[in-house]
Amino acid sequence: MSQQFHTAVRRLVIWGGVLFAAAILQTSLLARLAQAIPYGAVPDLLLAATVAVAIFDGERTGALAGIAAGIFAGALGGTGINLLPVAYMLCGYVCGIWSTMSLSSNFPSWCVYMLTTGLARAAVTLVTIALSYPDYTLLDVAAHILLPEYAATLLFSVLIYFPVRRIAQSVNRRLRIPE
Amino acid sequence: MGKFFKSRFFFVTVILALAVVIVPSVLSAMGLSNYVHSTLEMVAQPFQTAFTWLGDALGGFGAYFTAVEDLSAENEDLRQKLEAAEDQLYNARLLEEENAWLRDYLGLKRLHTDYRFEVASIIGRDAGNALTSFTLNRGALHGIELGMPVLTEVGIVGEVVEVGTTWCRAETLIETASSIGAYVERSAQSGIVSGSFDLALAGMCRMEYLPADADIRVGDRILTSGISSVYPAGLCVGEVTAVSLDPYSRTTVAEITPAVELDELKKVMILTGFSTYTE
Repeated sequence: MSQQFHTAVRRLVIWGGVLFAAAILQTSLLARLAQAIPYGAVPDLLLAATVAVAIFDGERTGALAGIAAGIFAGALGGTGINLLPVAYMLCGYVCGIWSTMSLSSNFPSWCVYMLTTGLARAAVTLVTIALSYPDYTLLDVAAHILLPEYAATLLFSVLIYFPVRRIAQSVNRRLRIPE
Repeated sequence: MGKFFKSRFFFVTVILALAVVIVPSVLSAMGLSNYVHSTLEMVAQPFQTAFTWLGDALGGFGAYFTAVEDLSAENEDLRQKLEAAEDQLYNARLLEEENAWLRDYLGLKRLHTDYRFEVASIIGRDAGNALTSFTLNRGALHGIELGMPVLTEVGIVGEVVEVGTTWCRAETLIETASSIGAYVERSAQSGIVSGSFDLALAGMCRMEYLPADADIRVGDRILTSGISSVYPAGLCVGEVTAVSLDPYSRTTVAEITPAVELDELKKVMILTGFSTYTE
């Protein structure tokens, strides 16, 4: 029991650190760089981190990571209506299941996860915009927000995948978690 | 897969996630502080500050190149506009000169309604020949003939001495071979204006065959008399700049500065026809 608790705490710290780092990068460095680039969009590193945790550590960890990521996004991102905890949680949970049932945790599978969850993220963004800006037009939102955000998330998710995979390998060896 | 979505864990996490969505919103609506968010923000603040600073540096670096590109494009645009403006200015100067010349030409045309002109441009000068002849861009095809007077609105320049198909050559009045019947405007004293080598070098000519007691002074205007068949009467030859007495011939000799500045000429008029009187 003590060993399990100790392991759980270490995983919490490690994955919490990963999510926290992703949130910091997303809300500071990448948010600033997105302003400097034409059609720049802030990539959703928290989504990528959630999916990465899910595929490397299972659906339960992925779901909890999703909730944590949503909290980080709400706290550091400062959005008005924060639907992301639910969205991230579902993404983490589904990807965790998906990785054990049909896909795996390799890079091509990672691309499939991100292509899919990116759409879910776009849906959340669209809902948030619809709730916040009633006079939006779908074409404008798609051209200026959804597509750039989707593309940026796919692109920058690579920065999450390989470090998290490395961390996961280290964590699994140290904590003897089956890969 | 359905069993995963029916598990207790899934329901608990869904409820937890919904709580995370709803509770902060409710607290915010009630005006209460969200301690979780505040704590997270406080912890994250130093890291965010550091990474934002890094982002500013990188963004500024990118913006620098963006600015350089913008400035480069703007510079190129301005360069093209400057070149276009310089072209326009050059064309405007040419038009201004031409306009002034045409105005003078029109004035002469009004003054001498019987004159028929062929406007010609100077396309060549005899180097080292003390500005005594020009090549003009009008020739036999334009009705130019030998001996036709060449003038400007200011006065006479010389006469055509050689004619080609599309060109002609004119000798100026300071050429030694020239000889023009002229008179002093003020006193009507007649004489002959001809060139001399020593004065031609200074761009001048002389008026000879004046009596010893001729009424001629420095500053007098000299006009063509029309006695010779080349020039019509009344055209300005130049101005007297010096008067002297020739001790051998006992005649008065006057040095004349041509009215036309021969070294400034660009366009001239070839007088192709005129009557023996003027208005």
